[in-house]
Amino acid sequence: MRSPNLVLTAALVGVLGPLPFLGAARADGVANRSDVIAVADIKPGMRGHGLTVFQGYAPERFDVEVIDVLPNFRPRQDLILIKTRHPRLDVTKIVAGMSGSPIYLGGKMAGAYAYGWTFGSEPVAGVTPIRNMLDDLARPLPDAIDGWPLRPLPPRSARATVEERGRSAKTTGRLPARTSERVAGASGRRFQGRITEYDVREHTREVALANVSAATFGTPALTPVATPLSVGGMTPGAFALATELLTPLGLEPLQAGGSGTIDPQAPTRYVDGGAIGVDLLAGDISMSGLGTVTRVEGDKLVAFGHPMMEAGATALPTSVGRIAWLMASEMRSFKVGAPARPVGSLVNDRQASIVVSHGTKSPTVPVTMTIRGATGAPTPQWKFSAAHEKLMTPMLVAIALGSALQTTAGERQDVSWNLKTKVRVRGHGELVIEDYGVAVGGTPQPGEFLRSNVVRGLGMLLNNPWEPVIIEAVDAAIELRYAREMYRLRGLELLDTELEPGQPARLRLTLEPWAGPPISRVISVPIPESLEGETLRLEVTPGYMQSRDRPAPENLAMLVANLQDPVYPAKTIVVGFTKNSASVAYRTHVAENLPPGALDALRPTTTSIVPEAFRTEVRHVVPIEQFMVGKDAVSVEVKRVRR
Amino acid sequence: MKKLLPRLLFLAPGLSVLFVALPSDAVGTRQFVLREAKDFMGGDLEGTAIDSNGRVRAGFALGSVPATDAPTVWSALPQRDGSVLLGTGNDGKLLRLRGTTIEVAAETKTLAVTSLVEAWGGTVVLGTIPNGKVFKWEKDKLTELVSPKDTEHVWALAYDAKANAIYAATGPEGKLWRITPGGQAQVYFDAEEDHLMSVAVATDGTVYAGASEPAKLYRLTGPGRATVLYDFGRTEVRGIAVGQKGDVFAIANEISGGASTPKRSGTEALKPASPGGASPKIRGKGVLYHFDARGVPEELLKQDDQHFTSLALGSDGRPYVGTGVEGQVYTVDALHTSVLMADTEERQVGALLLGAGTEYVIGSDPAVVHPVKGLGGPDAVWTSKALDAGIRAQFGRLGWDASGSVEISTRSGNTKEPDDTWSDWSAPLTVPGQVTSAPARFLQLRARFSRDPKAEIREIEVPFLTDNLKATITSIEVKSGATAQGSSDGVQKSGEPITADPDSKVKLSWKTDNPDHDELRFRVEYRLVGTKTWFDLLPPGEKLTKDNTTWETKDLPEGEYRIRVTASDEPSNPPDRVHRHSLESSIVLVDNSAPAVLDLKVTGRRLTARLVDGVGPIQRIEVCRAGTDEWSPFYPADGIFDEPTEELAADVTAISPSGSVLVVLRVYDRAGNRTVRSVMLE
Repeated sequence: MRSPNLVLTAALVGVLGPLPFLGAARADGVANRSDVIAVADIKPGMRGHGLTVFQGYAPERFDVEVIDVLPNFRPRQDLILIKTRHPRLDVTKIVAGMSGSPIYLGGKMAGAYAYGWTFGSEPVAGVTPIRNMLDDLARPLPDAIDGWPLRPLPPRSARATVEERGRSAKTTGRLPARTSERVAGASGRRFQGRITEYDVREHTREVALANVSAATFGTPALTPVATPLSVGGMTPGAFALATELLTPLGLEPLQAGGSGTIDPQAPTRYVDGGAIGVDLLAGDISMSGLGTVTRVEGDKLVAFGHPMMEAGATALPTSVGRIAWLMASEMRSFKVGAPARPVGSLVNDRQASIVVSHGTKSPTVPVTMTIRGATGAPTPQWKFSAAHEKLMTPMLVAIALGSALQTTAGERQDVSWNLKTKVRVRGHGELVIEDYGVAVGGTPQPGEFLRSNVVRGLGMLLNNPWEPVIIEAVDAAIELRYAREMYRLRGLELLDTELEPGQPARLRLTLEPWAGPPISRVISVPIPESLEGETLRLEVTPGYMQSRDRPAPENLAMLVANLQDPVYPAKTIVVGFTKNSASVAYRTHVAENLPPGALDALRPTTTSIVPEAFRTEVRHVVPIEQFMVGKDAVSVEVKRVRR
Repeated sequence: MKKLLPRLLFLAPGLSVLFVALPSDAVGTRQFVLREAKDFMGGDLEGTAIDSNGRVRAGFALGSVPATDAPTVWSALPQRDGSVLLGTGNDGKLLRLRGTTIEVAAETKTLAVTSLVEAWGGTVVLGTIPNGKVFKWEKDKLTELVSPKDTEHVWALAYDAKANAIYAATGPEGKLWRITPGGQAQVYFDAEEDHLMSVAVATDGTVYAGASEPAKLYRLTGPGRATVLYDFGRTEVRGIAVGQKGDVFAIANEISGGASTPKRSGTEALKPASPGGASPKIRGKGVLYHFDARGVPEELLKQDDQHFTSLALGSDGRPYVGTGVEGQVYTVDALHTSVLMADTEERQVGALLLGAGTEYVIGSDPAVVHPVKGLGGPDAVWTSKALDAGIRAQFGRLGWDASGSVEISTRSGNTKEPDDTWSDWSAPLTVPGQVTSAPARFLQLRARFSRDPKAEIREIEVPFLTDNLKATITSIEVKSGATAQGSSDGVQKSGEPITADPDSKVKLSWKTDNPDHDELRFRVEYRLVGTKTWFDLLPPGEKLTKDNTTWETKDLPEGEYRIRVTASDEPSNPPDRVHRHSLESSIVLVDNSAPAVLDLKVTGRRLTARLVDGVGPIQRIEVCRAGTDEWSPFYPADGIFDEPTEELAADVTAISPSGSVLVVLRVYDRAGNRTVRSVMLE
């Protein structure tokens, strides 16, 4: 169940967050530009042209004619309805990827091609007025987003100071003092549920619900021309997962391609009507949201004519796009293309446009994956970078890891696997997160990685309630064994039903391996002498199901520490029993097996910041050769000795 | 002001009957009488004490220095430079009190510094939990001395100057470690219990260690040479102190804790820490024992409503214990007279330092250091709890029995807790005199001992007269088979089996609301419904003060009556202040004669008769074969029991289909009077 406090907090952030910027709208005389035409001056029948890339890098003209103007189409935003005239557009009608294509009427910029109908049989599109987009362009940005500086790089003379601060930040692990004073509320929407229950699918659902444009996508209504996500290097299974997760966000994955390298022919700056990509993944696996630049003004530009995910201030890498073809489709045509040269960052994702800064560098998470055990596989090493964002990072890492594994080691036979991932967190060193599993009937599907410890851990870190976090690197290494390395716990047998005080309890476990006779294993569990006269319930569980007792985290450093080895090793059995004594966990300490008087003294009544008290559980860990599935329990009596 | 709960002091012989400081009698003028220990408790002590014999006298006069860097204090140690070290939780800080300033001296990065001891010529040694680390603190520098093997908790430390070693009582292996200045730790004793919670060393080198679960006190005369000095049959031995003569004092508690804690869920380690809510206020039971040099036990002090958390011997050789619920300090003498020496605002007394020249009471939860400024003194004040007269009262002459000179002031108000609406404290009375505080429901007393610090108050009396409030009769209950009252569901039933025998004696009882607890006299009258004259029900001259009586009705005409009860507070008030209140009962049916069966005839298997009662309606008709006691009910001819006269026309074939048989007819009226007739069926 979602915590009502979290919901309330989120609501407050949502209300209060934008307040500092309210007064800044339309601050730089948008209406006074001489090369733009006001909506009021646009009449039906007016003719003009648009610019977009049909192939390669160079924008080409297409003719347009105004049908009408729809006032207040979105809150305080009109829509200019146009009909396009171009031999190719006559075939393709509405084209995803043309979003942002500038439309000129009477020689002046009117707006950006942005809206259309799916299954439309005419080349009729909606144009977002340029005035609304320039309003977005004029909005001031926070100095930093989740700890990442958003301001464009200053002139060289001033750069040294900023770089010095950056180095200082790297050294100390803390934000530069100036930027930490004004940090945006969120880069992407923070997960609203309990952090311990972080789930990519649930997070996606939350973001989709909050994204009005995406929520209406796919209906017969006039909707933003969906941003085609040009996907390269991804398996069909991973592609399907990406489609499932991203479509509700208004992003439309399209199998296209992506070299992961810079095209030397690609322009180094954006131009009006040029193709632009928002790179969620880049490298061996790529995923880039394609659209068109509407208007470049100085260091910044506006594009798309509609939001990408309406995330507000954000920091996502962008690149100059190269268009291969306009693919015609009855449902909705789309541009086929790929990112060609990384340039700048998406810094503001608003109702009328996305704002991109040439000079801003956005954070990305470099990810490597090494696959061992797939003998002879041609591509055991994978490298890519993922957008650094609360939802996108865990989602993209899951998709990409799953795709890489399927590509290199896709099999229809049973696979036992261990995934060891090193996550480097700025200021907190390296964290090792382990995953393991037995995939019966084939290589693990990408969807399984959504539930992996590493993906959930990334989600917890990025959505932590204490401070911004920068994930500096993710290095994953997966070890595959084509075997079903799994025992099934058939049952337990207590060899001594009554114990002398201090005598260990002997349990015989019957374990059933895959394709083989049952295995008998006798384990001896030490029982403290002080438990005489008590009946103990000995619970046998797999190590991976047994959490270690650690204090609840009070800061990011503790969360990082607790994410490391949160459970016992996968190939162990844990025999546990409770004692009639209490333990407490507080800050960095766990004090176990406390006498009653001490528990009383440890729990002050005059403060609510108190140690968490819980029943002492004694655990005995026994290594085994394979993962075990199942759990069981037996009770044993410890004799009371008459002295 | 914290309120003390009244509690029993079991040690004073002859005080088995405890006096309650409530109105002394249910008459007009009553008295607050404070005579026994519990009467004087419940208020506030500043430099005063209350002993178990019910005397208020000089007690600890305490200063107050809050320690804001920690919520709890586990241990304390005086330093030669006059400062005091505090071992605290829950961040393992070592605090230092200098004058009126408390600073952080060191941070152990543990949960709590449970114990402090000075050893080896001035080295401060710290025991901590968890991880069982023993630190030493020298020249303001903290270093780890040793972490004994398999030790998670160091609960107590004691220094043996003769052996130049420290003993550490630990858990969860229940080991007593002997630690040398170099940090070598050897097991000196391995107890059966999980925890050794306390340790002390006698001058002859004998070591005493107290265990938890169960509470055993061990005496050790050498490594591994242990004998159980006493098994308290309780949970834990919390503290041990050794007197100069080698006698031993120990506090032991009965306290619960672990079994009531929940099992931990698997996600707690990743869930952000959040407010823990209010911790349960654990209320244990504590005892203080004394063991003479031969080991003979003697119970000195016992409290069943709070446990003990600290123990120290005063410079007077007496034991002092700090409590774990109300933050109080008690001492007890050889005659078992216990004295409440101080009552702090904190929940617990974490440590007591009562050596010569270094006297501190150290409160815990929250952490506050109370320097003992002396015994009694010019500012010594005892303040009573708010004495409740029940309703507004005027107060009379305040009297007391005291040795020495005291000044007593009063204040009054109408709220249970004194607040701004209360009167100011009155001018002090130095001799018994009239209370000048305004009439009110509550009165509070304050005694100052500034004139004579050695004075003792033994008894205080305050007469008071409450406003005379009217007593009211709220209900009258009549118990009689003839009572014409509805059943509990408001429906009076007829024709049902009748189990009660008729009785001419009607039992009357009533309830009164008597707010001022005046003694009451009741008058009871009756009248026949339809008449206006009330007649006394009670015999002439009878003064009825109880709330019930019996009314004999056999000589009264049958019919419906009403009862009137009048309450008067005349026994407690002069005639001009008497209040009366009357209440009439519902109808009471007086019916002492049975119904008549007239014209009884038998035709075949059919009985006919006319049934007539003097007052009430016929209530039940039943027939059986003689000797069977199997009665079958019958309805009257019109089918409803509603009149004093009913016609019977009953076919008894079902009871006796054929043949000669004697059948019995039984007829009841509402009062339960019955008539039995028999008739032969041919």
